[in-house]
Amino acid sequence: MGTGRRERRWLARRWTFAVSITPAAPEAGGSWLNSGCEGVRVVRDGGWGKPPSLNVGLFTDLTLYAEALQLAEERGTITSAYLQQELSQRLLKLLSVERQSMRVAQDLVRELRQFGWVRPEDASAKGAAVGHVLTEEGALALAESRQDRRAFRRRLAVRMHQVYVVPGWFVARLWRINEQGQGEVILPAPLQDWQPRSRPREQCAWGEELATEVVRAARAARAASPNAFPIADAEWTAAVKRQWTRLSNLSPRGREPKKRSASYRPRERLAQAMRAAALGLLFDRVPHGARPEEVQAEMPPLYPRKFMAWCPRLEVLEFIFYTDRHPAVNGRLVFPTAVFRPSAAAERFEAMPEIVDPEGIPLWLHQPKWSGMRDVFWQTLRTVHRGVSLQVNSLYVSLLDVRDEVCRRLRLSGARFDDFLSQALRELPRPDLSVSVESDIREEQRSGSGLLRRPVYIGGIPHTLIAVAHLPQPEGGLA
Amino acid sequence: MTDSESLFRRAPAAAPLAPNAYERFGLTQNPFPDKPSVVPGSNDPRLNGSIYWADLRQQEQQTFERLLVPAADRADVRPMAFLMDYATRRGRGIGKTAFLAYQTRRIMADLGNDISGGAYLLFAAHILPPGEGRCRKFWQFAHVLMDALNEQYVIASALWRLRAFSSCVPDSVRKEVGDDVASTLGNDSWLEKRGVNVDFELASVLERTLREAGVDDEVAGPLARSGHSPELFRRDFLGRQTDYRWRQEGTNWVFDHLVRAFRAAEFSGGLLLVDEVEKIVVHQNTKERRMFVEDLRYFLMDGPSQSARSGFYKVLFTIHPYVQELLAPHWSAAGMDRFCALSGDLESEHTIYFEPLKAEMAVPLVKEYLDESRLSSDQRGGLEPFDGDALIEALRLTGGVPGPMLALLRRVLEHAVAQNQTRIGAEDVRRVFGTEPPLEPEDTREEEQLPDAQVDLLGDG
Repeated sequence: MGTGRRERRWLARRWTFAVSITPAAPEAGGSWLNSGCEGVRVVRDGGWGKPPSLNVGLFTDLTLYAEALQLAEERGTITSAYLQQELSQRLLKLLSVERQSMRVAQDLVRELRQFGWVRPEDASAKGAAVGHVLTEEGALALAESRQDRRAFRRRLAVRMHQVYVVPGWFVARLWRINEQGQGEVILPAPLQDWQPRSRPREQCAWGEELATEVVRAARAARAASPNAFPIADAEWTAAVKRQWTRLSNLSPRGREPKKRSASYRPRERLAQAMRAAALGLLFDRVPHGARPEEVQAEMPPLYPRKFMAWCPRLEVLEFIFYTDRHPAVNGRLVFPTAVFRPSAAAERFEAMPEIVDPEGIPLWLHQPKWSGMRDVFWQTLRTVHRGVSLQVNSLYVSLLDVRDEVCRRLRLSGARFDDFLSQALRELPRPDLSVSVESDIREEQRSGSGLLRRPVYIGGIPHTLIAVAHLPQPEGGLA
Repeated sequence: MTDSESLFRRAPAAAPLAPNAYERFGLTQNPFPDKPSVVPGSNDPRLNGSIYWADLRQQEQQTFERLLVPAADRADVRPMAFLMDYATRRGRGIGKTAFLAYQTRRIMADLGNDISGGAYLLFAAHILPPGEGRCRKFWQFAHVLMDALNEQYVIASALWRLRAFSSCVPDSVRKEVGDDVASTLGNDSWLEKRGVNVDFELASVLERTLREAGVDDEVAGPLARSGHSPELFRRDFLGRQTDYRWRQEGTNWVFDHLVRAFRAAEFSGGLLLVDEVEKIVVHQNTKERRMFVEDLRYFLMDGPSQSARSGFYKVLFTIHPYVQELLAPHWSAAGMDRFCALSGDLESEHTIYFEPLKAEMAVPLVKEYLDESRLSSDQRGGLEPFDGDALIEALRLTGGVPGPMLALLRRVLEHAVAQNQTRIGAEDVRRVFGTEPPLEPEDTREEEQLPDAQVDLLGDG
């Protein structure tokens, strides 16, 4: 398939990369099903190829890779046990992590080995005690991490895609779910006004109350963004009910007396059930709405634990943006900040030619330049700040809330937002408005999931509050 | 100045006079309140609700009288009614508190003589429940009621009357009382100077009178000795009660013994105008809400207390539509709808609807405020420096809600001073409104659609 033909088709159909109308080229892995039904085509949501590894590490702090490489260079050999001892204390968002677990250290060594950045000293040896040494490519990655962190992140993204395929596949799946909304997807959670008390473990029957909450959550998601949760109420309710029943049948942890008196929080369980059900419907092996016989899918479904690991990773790699605390959304809002397209303007996009979809179309990260976005960024910042300010009736508002909405409107990654805000602050003072950012830790960031909400970094320092005030104009009245 | 000199420097009797920036408009000060809400008890007439144009709420006032105030031609009134706030979604400041404060002042000015056509002796108290869930339980509500009845001189008025009618105060002394009753009949020294034996004779007579009326000894004594002065009664009785005592006896004090005392002072009824009921209801859990409503019925409608038996208290609850939603199931379950419908078809028969103002009402309301701050009485009745359109525009921009409109006009006037303007038109109001600080947040977030992304990742732009 020539590039020109692909380009034309792309332009004509806007976005149907996942559905190959013509017999796909062998390199794309397409085929016609011998089903006796002429015209049935293979949905290439598959076609990504079987991932070399399904065993992704569950840690989300990607700075661990560079530090492990550095330790390998300094010491010559690293083991899981050594890494667990030596990896330094760090701040994961606002959570202080004194020490990494052995599980993290083991996952780290395994992933570095899968990336080809370290190799076992003794190829035949196995186990946690096996020493690993830096490879040539690992040394290059380490050098890059010291010189250009952004380039290192791109290199890491490519290796992750090659090993797990999830990065590219996930972006493509988001676009497939809601092409009209540019991949904006909401995974619903129970509404805030539903706060039932803890219940004994035995009182877990599915009932009208739960079904109502499930439907309310879905409708709230669709009210916030019409196509961001394209699942019918009945199908959604049935899926959540299945997950609720599954979770209710799990044995409680702990000793016997504790097990007997175990209770559960209905809100938390329903949130878990909703998350699992939404992932099952939207990020399964088969795309939602496609017939199984149409699909040739090698990608495994994305289970909740892996999803929880992949979202922060892809966010750091600037493939997606996600938030669990958008003021207007109950649940997780996630959207891609990258797109598969044949070509794109260099002022707005950065090519990732190593990551291509099943049709060979490359991935482009939305990385606009400040000069091209300056005016729209300022305007959006002011508009969004005013909206949040009106809601909470305060001039100083959560910078994180403002960041989430600005990123959503401008399809920026968190890192890009940090860059742009830093640029904007350097332009101060301005005659028409004043901007102030503060680094106070807000109440909701002091515990729980608030600790893991990504702060806005300005000059390496987490900032949490912003005020945007209009200044009176000296002549010609007020602006 | 040394440290000790600084420490012992006396405060100046009055703040030094600054040039009056509002003189060019014929005003002594910015006539509009600097706070967007009424502050009962404030010395500033712009804040305490005393600047009030009664015609503004004529309709609401008539409904209030019809529902709650007994008169010669309407003996049967409702035991309870609601004042429904329709302005919730437009921000606060529609004038409920000013309305309640005005009705309280109006009734207390002549103890309901005018409003009831001389047929009844009434009192009124403006009740402001505290926030932070400190009024969730009914005994806490009773505590708030008793505090308000004391602080607003209702209990004192009853005791002044009992003093005046007692045999201990001769007619010659009574004739000297004058308008400031607190410093005459309510002042022990004043009475003693005129030969009245307050401690041994007057207090004993009053205590005996109260006991004969059925008031419990525990309350009758303190009332007789110190009820004539809010400060003394607070010190001698209210301030000494523990929460435990309030929990055990508070409701009896308010709904039984106080009622007996009021009736001994010949009061025919009392109006309790309860503001901001959301401060009670929103903090309650389901059980507390249900119990609160049950207690309302017990103590005001059909329980064995004096209050319920005689229908002494008439209560006006100021509620948001949201509070109505929270209370409705409990109200109905407690059978209160039969007495006073909170929702359903009969709701309008027990409710005073408080609606946003019409555009033409802006002018007379603002005149009331301007008149209060005029340098010369000749300028009263004028709108300078505003023109009529400016005021109508201000009311329109603020959604017909007077509180935000007055706050906007204050800012407009300050802006006019800074810009050396002499006239203020609709365009000036619009300009300043465009720079308004954030308005009140909404109580509950409506489900709203997120705006579309401003960037198209598939486009070429």
